[in-house]
Amino acid sequence: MIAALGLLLGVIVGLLLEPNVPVELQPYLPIAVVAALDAVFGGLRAFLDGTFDDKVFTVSFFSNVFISAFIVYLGDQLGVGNQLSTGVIVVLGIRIFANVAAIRRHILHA
Amino acid sequence: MQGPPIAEYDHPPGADSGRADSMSLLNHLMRNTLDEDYAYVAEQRGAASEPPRRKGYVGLVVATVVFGLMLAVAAIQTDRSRPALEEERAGLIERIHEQSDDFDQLRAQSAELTLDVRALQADVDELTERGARVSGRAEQLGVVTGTFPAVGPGMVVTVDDAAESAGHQGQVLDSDLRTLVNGLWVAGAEAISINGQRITSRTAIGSANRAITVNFRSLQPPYVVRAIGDPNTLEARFFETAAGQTWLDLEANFGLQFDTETVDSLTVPARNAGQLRYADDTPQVTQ
Repeated sequence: MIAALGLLLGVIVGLLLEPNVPVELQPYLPIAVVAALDAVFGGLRAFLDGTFDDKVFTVSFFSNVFISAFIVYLGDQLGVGNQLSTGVIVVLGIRIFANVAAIRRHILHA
Repeated sequence: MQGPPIAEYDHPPGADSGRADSMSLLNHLMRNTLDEDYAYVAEQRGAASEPPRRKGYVGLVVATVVFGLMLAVAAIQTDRSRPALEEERAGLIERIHEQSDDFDQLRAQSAELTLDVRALQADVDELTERGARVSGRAEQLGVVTGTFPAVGPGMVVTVDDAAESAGHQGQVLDSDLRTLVNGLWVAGAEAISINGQRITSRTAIGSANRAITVNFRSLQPPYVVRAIGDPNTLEARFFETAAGQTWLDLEANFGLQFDTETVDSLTVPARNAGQLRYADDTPQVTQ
């Protein structure tokens, strides 16, 4: 509930303020969003498992965001930014699907 | 909400030991989601028999707000860049069409120019041929007019003053040389030189300061006259001319030295044509 409210608040603030992302950071925003999505689904699954922990979620969320952005940044510097982006997306995508599958089992018992 | 344990993700260790290594990476990814951390913390807490924490939601709120913010910003950013991308794409398409048109045009132009080149090549061939003909004709004419050196058989006439100089009468005069040259022309000579001076239509044989001048150059005796012509007839025909007779008389009466010799090959040098002069029928108005 609190999480849903926080998400809603964040979206509203973002839409209202329309903050400008620095040009250097723009390429890393989409990958950071995907990484954050992974952390969120992980947290949701943990919540449904009854093992949710605020600290673990916060740490995993921010570390996911920063590490994914950093990996892509590193890839850009090495000239393999696109390949590394693809790799990060694949890994995060698999984790997201696994987590969502677990959530589905919880909710639908199927 | 407490669900049943998820059996799929709780493989006993070594369950996939028989599989290929490349599969184990994927399996590892599938199994090791974030839940491990939660499970670990829960296990620790369970071991310490603490109740699950329920108070600290600050991190959750901050993280979710940040997440929402990121979503919104990313959406806005993508939305903003869309018109630019569309524009870029339209521009590219337009450029492709333009370049394609240009290409067609250039190809047509190229075909046209190829035809032109072919026509011009034909012209060049024709002109080259004509040039060769003209230069051949120029050479022929040059041999006659004196602007080209002439090589061929002919006769050499050597004349000189009388051995014991009997004053004015024993000397070769310019008029004698004129007679000799004209006689050679009559006899069929094609090119004549006197002491290396080519005789052309503009050559004057005169005298200055008791010396004979040809082409305005003073000559020293003996005078060697080279004439190119038919070696079989030139000498004989020369003696049939009045000039030949005159020279035989000069030799007999005044003791002038006069030797003729037919040779197989001799060279008559060219003379620079200089500036050509043309006749003009408009009367010059002098004031």
